[in-house]
Amino acid sequence: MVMDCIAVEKSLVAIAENSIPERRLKELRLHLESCSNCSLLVKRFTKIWQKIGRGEQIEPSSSFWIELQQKMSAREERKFWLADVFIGARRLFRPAALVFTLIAGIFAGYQIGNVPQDSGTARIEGKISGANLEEPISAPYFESFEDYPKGSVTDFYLSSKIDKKE
Amino acid sequence: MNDQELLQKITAKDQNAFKELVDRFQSLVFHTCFNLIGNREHAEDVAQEVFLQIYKTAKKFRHECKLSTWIYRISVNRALNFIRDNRKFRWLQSIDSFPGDETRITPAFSSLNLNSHDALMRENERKELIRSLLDSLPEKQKAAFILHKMSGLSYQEIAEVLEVSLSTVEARIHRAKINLQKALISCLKKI
Repeated sequence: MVMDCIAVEKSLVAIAENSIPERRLKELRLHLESCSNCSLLVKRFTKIWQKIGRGEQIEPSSSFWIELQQKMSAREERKFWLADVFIGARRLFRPAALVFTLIAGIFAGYQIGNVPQDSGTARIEGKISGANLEEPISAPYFESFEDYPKGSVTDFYLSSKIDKKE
Repeated sequence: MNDQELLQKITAKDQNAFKELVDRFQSLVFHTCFNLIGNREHAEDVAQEVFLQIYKTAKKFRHECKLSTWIYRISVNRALNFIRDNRKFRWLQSIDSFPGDETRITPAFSSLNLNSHDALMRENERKELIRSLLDSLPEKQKAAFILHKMSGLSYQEIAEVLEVSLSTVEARIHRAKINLQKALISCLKKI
């Protein structure tokens, strides 16, 4: 069986790496003899693939060790300087941060505790969540649902509630 | 001096021992970083960071693997981190200069002269093409492929460096080859 162009394309890496089986190699040769496009593709592909394998032969610069030592000493200096700053800052700011957190906590608690409980929204939320479903439904609650479509599920539910109440 | 003695001395902040380690592994670290990053200056910076990390964490090395494996691992991780950080930076740059700007990052191969057959033969353009192909790979595939193809490590060694199973390494290299094959074919067909 002779290989087709698609099979050649799929085998290009194997061809470039000389890992194609002997039996397939014969089929490949037959195809390449008759197909100039594939022959050219194989040639170009192999050339570039072999280059990928070799990589670039470059070495680090001669100043590598000197630069490394400079980085090391710079880092050591920075480490000591940062450590001093950090210790000083911690002594100074830790009590301040604690006091600030405490005050912020008290203020936040006060604000949360002062949220008005008798607003329409709170009541509606309470009713929807099912907490007060059995309680008599007040007028302001209905006012907020004036626009519900007649004949809808809401209409049926609220009408039955009103009927029960009456 | 064997690896264990060398590391013991480095842990004790012996500069001569550290110099010996740098001399011994400088080439390995630099080439790994360069093959992954593709830029000499950046690779050198990252290689120096690798040695600084080794100096700092030498006492943490437990001798469960070879010293070279550990150094490869640090090099790969550092280089991949650099690529990730740099990608974010390049992305921001590309946004900054997007509308019709000539300096924006162009897709792979666009700088090549695709009208000429001879262009591909030119060394610099071929290097650029290879770099574009490698950069188009997902980072895990790229790391496994480069360690195998360029650093010449066996699948088992790569598995130890990347701390994954042998089958994972095989799969990553296989997928990398398929992806490279597809990219290179489409590039060659445009010429």
